[in-house]
Amino acid sequence: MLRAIKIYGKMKAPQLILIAFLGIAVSAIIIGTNFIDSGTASGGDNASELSSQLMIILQFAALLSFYNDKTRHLDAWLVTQNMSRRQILLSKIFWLIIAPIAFAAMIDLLLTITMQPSDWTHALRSNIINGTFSLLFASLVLGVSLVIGPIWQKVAGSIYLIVVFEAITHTSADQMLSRQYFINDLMTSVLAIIGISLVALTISYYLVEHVGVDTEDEPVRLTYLKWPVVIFVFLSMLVLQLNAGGGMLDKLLFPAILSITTFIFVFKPKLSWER
Amino acid sequence: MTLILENISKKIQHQQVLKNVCFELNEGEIVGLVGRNGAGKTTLFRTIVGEMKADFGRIGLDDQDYVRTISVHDQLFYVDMPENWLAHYTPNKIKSILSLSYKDFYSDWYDERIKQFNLNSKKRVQTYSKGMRALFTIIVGFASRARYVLLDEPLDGLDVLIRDQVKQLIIDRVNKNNTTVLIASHNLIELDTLVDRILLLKDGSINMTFAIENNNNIKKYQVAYDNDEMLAFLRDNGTIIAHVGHIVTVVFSDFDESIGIKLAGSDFKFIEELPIGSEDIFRASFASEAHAWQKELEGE
Repeated sequence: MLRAIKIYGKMKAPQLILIAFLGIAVSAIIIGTNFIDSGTASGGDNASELSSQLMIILQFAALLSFYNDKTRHLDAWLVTQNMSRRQILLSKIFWLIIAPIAFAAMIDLLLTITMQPSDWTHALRSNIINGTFSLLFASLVLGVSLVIGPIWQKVAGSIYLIVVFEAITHTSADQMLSRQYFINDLMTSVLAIIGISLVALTISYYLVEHVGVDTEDEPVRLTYLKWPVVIFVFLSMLVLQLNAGGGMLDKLLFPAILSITTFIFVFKPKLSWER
Repeated sequence: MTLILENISKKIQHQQVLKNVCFELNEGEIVGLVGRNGAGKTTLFRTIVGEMKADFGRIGLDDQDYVRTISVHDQLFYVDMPENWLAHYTPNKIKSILSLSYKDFYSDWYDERIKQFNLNSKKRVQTYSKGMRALFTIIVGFASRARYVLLDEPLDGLDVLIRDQVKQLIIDRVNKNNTTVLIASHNLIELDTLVDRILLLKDGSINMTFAIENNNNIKKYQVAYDNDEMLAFLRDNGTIIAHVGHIVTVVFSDFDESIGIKLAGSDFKFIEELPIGSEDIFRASFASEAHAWQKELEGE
């Protein structure tokens, strides 16, 4: 396992360094902007704002780096090495999910301790919340990216899943922060989110062993997941529509259109007027 | 150590690409893999190294299951050609990566070859010409000191002088390290001077394994005929390679006495047997397809 982490880290080193520099640059810009706007370098709200913005940006950069592996044919070579597909996946989780989250949290904490030492507990709390949410969304994106082949469909699928997940659960880091949870509630919530993330990661860990390079251009890379994906799109959109207003026909129309579109992409039915 | 492929089958998008592929590669052999475009050569390579999962069959290194035994994966070297990750790094960076992934990576030899072929070790490989990239991949393959090196069209894009040096390099590594090399190529003339035997991939399986000297029933003739039209028996029994005026070069895939008697008849002004190469054997193996195309062209 350590070997897989080392090799993948070595191969991704230039991009990881770029992500780290991006993190530092973004921090400087956010702090500079806040300083100009409010005349203070850091404060309670600024700490949570910086950590959440930093995590989003670093996760986005890491996601681009993750997709870049496909265009560089890196995965194709890695599976021929002394490492299993699962070890490769864990290496990616380490370098492209955990490391950026930890790095963003570290920068935020260091800046808070340096500039506003009294706020460090608040900063720690916001980092834990933002970090767990980042982990959750990254786990969902990873799962989607594993099941879906073409890059643009990975992106579209990930965005859809995050939107649906957020809408259905009505949770977001900002909401949690605004509710000012007590430490016990916070711990329960954090543990629950980590639990969901671990379930998502475990599913990815199981699936990665079953996807080969030959299905890279398939919209759904595992045959037995084709129908579940179409059904999921229909049901999730239906739930979203049921929460919104309007008549029953309106509520069914959008899920139907979206699931038919998904069906066409997934199953590629040959439509012809010729007899 | 022997690499054994047993009944490897693979379907891609409902199409059977490989069907019960069986062969063995022994230590120190250079083996060619030929087949028509789309025959499944690259799919076979990708399946051997584990990039793709076989639907059926077994790939073994002696008695070990190669795909499942991850610890032996550094015994095989393969990168997709021409698009692969190497292009995005400099030779120096690649050396540091491969030193981690191949425990016996031959750093000194790698540096020497980079210098020998005037490859800039500080520039990304993607800045090299197509031929230089192919050459670099071959150097990387042998520097890995993997027991098996799989090369897909390795001589493609190389000029004659570099090609000779590369062939020498391959032979040198096979002799010194007892490396086994499997080369997929369309350039059968090049393969003739390099390989011990050739595997012919046809209809998804290894149709035949041949060494040129073992193919006594395949003959190549150049004949000049007397009549206004070429005799039908030439086309019916052989594959026409060239036809200029009344002179025809033909390969007979199943030469027998009756063909010999007909050639010796008065219909021909002269006949001459020519030496056969892998290309001729390849043509002979696809004689029926070639015959159908010829008929089709004549029909048009």
